[in-house]
Amino acid sequence: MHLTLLLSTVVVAAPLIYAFLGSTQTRAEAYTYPPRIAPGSGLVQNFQHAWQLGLGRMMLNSTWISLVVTVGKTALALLAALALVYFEFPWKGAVFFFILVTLMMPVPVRIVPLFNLAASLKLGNTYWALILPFLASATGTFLFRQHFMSIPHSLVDAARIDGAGPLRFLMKILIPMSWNTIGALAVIEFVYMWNQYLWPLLIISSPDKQVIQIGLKLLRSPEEAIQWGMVMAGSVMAIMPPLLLFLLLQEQFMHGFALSEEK
Amino acid sequence: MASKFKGRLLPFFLLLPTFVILTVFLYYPQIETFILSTYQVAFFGLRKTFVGIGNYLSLFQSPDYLYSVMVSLIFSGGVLLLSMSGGLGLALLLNKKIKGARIYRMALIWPYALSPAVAGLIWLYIFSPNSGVVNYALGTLFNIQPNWIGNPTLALLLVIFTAAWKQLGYNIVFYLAALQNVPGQVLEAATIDGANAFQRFWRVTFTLISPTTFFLVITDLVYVFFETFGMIDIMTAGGPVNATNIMIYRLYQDGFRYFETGLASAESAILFVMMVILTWIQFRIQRKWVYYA
Amino acid sequence: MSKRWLVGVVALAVLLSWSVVMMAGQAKPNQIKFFHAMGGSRIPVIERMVADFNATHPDIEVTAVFNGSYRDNLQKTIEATAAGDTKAIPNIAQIFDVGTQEVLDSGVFALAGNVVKQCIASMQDLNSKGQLNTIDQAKLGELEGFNTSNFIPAIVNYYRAKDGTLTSFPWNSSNPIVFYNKTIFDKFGITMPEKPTFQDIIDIGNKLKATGQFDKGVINWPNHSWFVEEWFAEQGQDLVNNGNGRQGRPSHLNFDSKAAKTLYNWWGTLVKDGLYTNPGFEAWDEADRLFLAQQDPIEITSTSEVTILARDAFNNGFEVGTAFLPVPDNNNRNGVIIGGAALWLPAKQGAQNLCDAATFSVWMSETAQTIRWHQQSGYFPVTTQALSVLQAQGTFKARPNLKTALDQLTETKDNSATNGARIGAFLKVRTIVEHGFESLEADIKGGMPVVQAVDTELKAIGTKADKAICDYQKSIGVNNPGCA
Repeated sequence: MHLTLLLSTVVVAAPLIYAFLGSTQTRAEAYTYPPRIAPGSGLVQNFQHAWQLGLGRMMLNSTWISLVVTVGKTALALLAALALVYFEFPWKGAVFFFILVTLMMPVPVRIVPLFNLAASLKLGNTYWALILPFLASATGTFLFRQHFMSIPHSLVDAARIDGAGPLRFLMKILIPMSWNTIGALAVIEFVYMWNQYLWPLLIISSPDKQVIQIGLKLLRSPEEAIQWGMVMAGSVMAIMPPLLLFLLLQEQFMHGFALSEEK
Repeated sequence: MASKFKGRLLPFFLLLPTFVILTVFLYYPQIETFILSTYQVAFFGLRKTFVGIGNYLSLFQSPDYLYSVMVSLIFSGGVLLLSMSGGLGLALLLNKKIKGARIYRMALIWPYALSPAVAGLIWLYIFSPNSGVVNYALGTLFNIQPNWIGNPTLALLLVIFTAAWKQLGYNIVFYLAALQNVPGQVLEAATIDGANAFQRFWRVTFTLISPTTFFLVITDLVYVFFETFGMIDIMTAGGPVNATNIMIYRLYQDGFRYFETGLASAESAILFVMMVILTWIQFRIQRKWVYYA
Repeated sequence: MSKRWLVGVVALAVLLSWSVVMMAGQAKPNQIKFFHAMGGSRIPVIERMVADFNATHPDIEVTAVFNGSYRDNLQKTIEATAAGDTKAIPNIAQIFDVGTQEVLDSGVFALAGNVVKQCIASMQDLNSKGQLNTIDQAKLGELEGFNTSNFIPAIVNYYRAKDGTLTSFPWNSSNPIVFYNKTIFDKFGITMPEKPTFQDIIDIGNKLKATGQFDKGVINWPNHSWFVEEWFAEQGQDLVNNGNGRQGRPSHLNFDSKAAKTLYNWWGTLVKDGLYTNPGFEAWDEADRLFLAQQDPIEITSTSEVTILARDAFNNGFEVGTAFLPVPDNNNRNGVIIGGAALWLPAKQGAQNLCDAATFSVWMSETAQTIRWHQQSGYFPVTTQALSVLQAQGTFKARPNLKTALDQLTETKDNSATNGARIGAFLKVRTIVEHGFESLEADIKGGMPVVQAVDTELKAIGTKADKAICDYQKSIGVNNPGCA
């Protein structure tokens, strides 16, 4: 049993270590055949080179848009869930359905007109183009809605008796009870934005607004032998933020998302 | 039912931002996709000719398109099989009380945070046919060096493996949670009834976690069909000879390389219909199995 | 407490007013975006050149943006221009030769010759009214000094519209040559003739294979349609019909020609005998790596790699030699297509940007810059003046590897085959050709006899390509009687 786990762990975790090793190799060391497995001497060089080639700026860009979207999406989802669970209004079912249907619309199935739309709104090559389409989410709304519905009625009634308005109720009661869900959503949304590839590939045309994933793609010069040392350094750089966030919020992720049944 | 707040206006404002974003950036382009798919467009609108279902007809008659549909099915089948069975197996192991379970868990789940593009880069590095460590080892030990990128079958296997590897952690998390929710008494009752380990697993555990299985099938399918784009772009760019040209990659090429925007919209529409069918299935099944605590 | 607050406010006020003064005093230079596809070690070369331009032209600030391969760059350029607003449009785009028909059809670009003329006219007009400042006067001088006939004819003729107007500024050109590992060749006593034939390559290949050191192959070139096109030109064969697409729109890819069969039978034999290593689909980088890691002693690739390859080979401890592109018959060398790319100016960027973009493009074609670009990259000098200077300096004598490319170019005959094809769907055709080779390789490795495999695949490629060519024309509303 331990053996299986150990073996699986090696298969799953080893590539990260190998990538890190690769990032230490200088240009010459990377060209040798048979391939070196021992660490090389180019660690600082490779990271510096990758950073200077624009990856530094792109890390900032990715961080910025991921943070903005995570915060924005969470906020919008909280508000929407508040409305759906604690209010009565006509057409509530239809509204919920309206939000639900967007689960069937991942980016690629609307990519061509989305591109045209961004172009006509003059959003080509802007941070807004990267942020706006992702600010609302069915997933977040569902998670919070489900979570809110699982909160005991007694608490809600007590708050109502206290005379708290809906927004105070949200801030003072709901949010403190939802940290697991918020944490889980934060991980999911941050990772999701950080890993965006197709949309930035299409809509961003200058390196000062480009995101890290596409930056990695551009590290490969089409006409020159691929510099694995630098590419691996860039990859390691790109992994760090989402990985760190994930490790930090691991518990919330496990409890807030997985243990509540689906969306 | 919890008592509600009063007010008709406030919920409207609470929902407004979500509504606006979803309408402008999701519903509008989605509808526009269908409209655009009935035109043959050159260069983003340079010329627009109405062709009705012409694009769809030419897609269904195109051997290349049908091939990419087949590739997508094989790709998703392979990834689901590997990732879910691996995920379930590892979750079962992790569910037991063993030393270091937390460390194992962390080590097995982390690829979730990895982007498909980076996963593709790293595995490309490892499996590089002429300079990668795998082929070096194989060459030294067995004197064979398979062409992982140049051989159509091997390239497909490589991307299946990479995609499954990356999604493994996700499946583990959900299966682990589901397993931890299986009530111990039910299993005990089964043992008392004389069921062996194998029967206990299939008839009790597997049945009880089947909602999770269905959920993961749907989420993993979405992942495989849409989110592996970066991986494919970096590892194989759809090749060799279209062997890894899944539908989304083909869509990208038709829409943004060759600028056949009408055709690409038709391809998007087809993918959307698939999504609808998938989601419909998921919600039908969910309604039967899931309850709110 | 309030005193500190007061000091803070005063400091802030001073800071703010200072920055306002600073900002107002400096007019920000005009931002010009230059989209290109020159990656890797060429990026710093371009950035230094751009920096020099910016320093000598203080009212213009050019930013070079690397977008990936030529295909990626073309895609990005069209997308950015489609995405509308002036902020996103690139002001100068490096488009490769085979994209020419497509970009002309797209209507997105202004013709370079016309832009220069209009800018000169409007600036001269201002000048005559005394309204032109010193900086712009210098620009006018530069633009007036631009002369299309300064470009090497074989190169510039590629980029002329039907009425002779220059469509874009030729910038980087190259042709394919053989690079070989001289150290290994010397070690085994093998020589590479200056002008090898197909048979020579097979013989040399077999000799190298017999040494037992190269079990995976001895020669490679990227699986890229460019090489196929060059081999067609060498055999005097037009790639497509209708005067290679220049007398009228093409409708047929000439893969049923004798030249095609000769080429592919040779290539197929190299595959069958285990002599050719396939680096991958358009995999220039992998081809280089195979050569530099000394896994393949022979590589055919672009002369633009001369500088980089020689340097990296030196660092890896071996010497590089070069030779002409191999041909079936040395008595019938027709010459090569002068491939490469040119600088195009999108039309919708506004008059001021157009003139600044034109200034940059003209500057890049000046003798000093042309020589510098050539020396630091390996691309050809595209102007006759630059070429004469380099020859006078004895560059080509000192660097024989550069001379090989130059000789191959100067010995090229001027006919429709070497002028290069004009195909709207060129990009798709290239993909079809490249996939076709992958199928061919699979067939041969699977045991099919070379001749049969070649026949099958050539037919398949031809059919698919013809359809792509005609579909493209239909989609832009052109009715070609040659198309079914």
